[in-house]
Amino acid sequence: MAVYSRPLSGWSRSKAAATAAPRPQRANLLVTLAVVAALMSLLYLVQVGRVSTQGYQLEQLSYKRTQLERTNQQLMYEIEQAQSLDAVRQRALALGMQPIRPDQTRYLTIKIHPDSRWTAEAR
Amino acid sequence: MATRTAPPAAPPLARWRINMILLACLVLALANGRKLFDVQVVRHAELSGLAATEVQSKRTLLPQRGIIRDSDGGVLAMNVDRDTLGVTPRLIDPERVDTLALVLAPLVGRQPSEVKQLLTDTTREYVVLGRRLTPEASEQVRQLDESALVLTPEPIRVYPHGTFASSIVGVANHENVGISGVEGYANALLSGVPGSMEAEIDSAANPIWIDPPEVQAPRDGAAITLTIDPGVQRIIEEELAQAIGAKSASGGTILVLDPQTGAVLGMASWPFYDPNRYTEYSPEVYNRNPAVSDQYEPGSTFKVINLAIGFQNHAFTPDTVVDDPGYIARAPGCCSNWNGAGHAPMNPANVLLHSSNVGALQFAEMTGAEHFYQGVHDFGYGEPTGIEINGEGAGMVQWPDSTEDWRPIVLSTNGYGQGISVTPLQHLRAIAAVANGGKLMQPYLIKQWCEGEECHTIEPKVIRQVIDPEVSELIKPMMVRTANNSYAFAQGMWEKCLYEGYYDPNGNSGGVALVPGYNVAAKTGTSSIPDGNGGYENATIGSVIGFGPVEEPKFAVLVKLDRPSDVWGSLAIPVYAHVMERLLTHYHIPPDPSLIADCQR
Repeated sequence: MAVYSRPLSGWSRSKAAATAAPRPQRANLLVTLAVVAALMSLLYLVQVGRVSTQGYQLEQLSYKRTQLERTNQQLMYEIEQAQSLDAVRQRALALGMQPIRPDQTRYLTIKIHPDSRWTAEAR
Repeated sequence: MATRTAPPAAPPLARWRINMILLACLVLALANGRKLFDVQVVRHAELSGLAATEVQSKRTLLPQRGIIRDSDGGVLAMNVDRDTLGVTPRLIDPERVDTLALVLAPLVGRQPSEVKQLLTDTTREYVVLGRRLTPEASEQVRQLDESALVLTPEPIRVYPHGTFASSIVGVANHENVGISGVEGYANALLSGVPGSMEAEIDSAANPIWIDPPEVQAPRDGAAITLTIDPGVQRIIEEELAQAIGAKSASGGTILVLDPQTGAVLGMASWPFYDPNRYTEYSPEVYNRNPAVSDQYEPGSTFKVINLAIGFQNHAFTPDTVVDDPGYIARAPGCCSNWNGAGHAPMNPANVLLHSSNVGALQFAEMTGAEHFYQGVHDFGYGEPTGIEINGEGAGMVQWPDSTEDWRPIVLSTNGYGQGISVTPLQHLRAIAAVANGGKLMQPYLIKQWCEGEECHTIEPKVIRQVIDPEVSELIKPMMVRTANNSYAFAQGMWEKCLYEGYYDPNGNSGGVALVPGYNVAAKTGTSSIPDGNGGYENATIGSVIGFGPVEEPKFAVLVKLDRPSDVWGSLAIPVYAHVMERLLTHYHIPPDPSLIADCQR
């Protein structure tokens, strides 16, 4: 029987040496490594995804807060305008009220009995 | 037995071909390595910087400008966001241009043709159509649902009460920088400190939170509470507006101080302006507050100060009498009483009652220049008071030791308030010292300022004791006598009392109270207005200064009307009386029934 053979090159020799370990043991090691790497990648991806999602939610909430602050400021502005003395005066006049003249003011002097002083002050 | 033959040998590759392929790979690898070295090492800093600008963003976080409130907590200045409307013209559907131009024009305050021109200007990437849109206008823009239109909010300063107390609060410009009033003076306090946020951003410029952003929070501006009592401010603004209209004056000021503390309770100057629309007014109107900037000759109101200095220096007593024939020769054309009439006996009290220039001049001369000007200095004239408003004037005093051509006539005329200029606030502070027993107070407008939870309250500050309390008590009844015997009958006030014989020109009867039920001190003054050419205008400034109630002064008040229809300035008296009467009511100070004459009931 004739056999075709060629001398092994240096690279092939080292490869052959590396595969000298029993085949099933080597395969198990590779599979385990691949699974660990995949799990770690998955974990990282899940974490990144979660952080990104929460970051996005945070941004949304921050935007909402800004919007609410703007609305709050606008409402405060409108309240201040409605409470201005000019606005109050106009509403009072519309209700038929009249500004008091100094000569219409009446002062009542109330003499407080010393025993009732505490109650009077508390009021 | 069959024989097997060996397979034919593979034709060997030509060695040179293999070498060529290897060489090509080597060249490519070297080229790649060279590029890699260039990118990773040589241009590392440049390229990593460029990359950082793409994904790294540093935003400035603007602080909120501090709120300004009155003493009752009413907001005088605050911040709101208003939208700027921009457009990307190349994104506009040409068929919608006409409709959009018509709809947007009234919202941004432009002509439709102008808006159309901006909408079709495709040479520009972004065009601003309008700034500071009202909330209603912004909502209408949103409802158009046009993706080419962009609304960008920006903070602006607003003044909810419009013209109310505007000369005190002042203005912050469109860049939110205070340029006048308290806004200008306390700009650094109100502005706060900007912060920053450094983060990786996505394509929409939102921070990516994988790497937490570095945030340096902004520090908001301080919230300021003023001493201004809104009730007082309202009263003096109403009275000033009425007086300006009724007396045909070109301008004016009413100022109210608490003489015990120096707190400014109210400060109004005509013309009023709305700080929300300050660009519609002349800078002269919104940039200065006449109550602290205007300088004028105080005229006869200064006689009060003259007498106080004389009493303090024991130069004369209330019983000292000088001759007043109506004219006294001190220089060519100088000096006479306002009406040329003489009065006798001319004692200090009558100097105020008759507003005698001749008497005041002689009492100032008795005091002497050294003591007189020391007193003028002690009362705070000739230097700013330090009030928290931009652009305060210092007044002008011709000091004997620092004025080259100073002559004794300056002392003589200063005695009745000529040849010296003061600011309204400076003058009222001096009168407040007469009211409070002689303490010159530091006038102030800012009652409290808070940064976050930390608040600082400003305490009243006595600058110096100018006159003794006894001197103050000497002057007060003289001013009340003047108010009750002279001013109560001026300008048709208490006409019924005039006819019923209450009026005694010599002030011996007691007259009637200028404000029924109260002892109120007052002194009028008429000032000439320099025309800028070395002469005087044919117009005057009429003013009244005083305080009340005299027993326990609650307010010092100055009413000043510029160029009123009456050149003698007595038109300011009813205004002063109304202001004082309303202030007393506002503060619930009950009248003394014994001070109400029958003719006043």
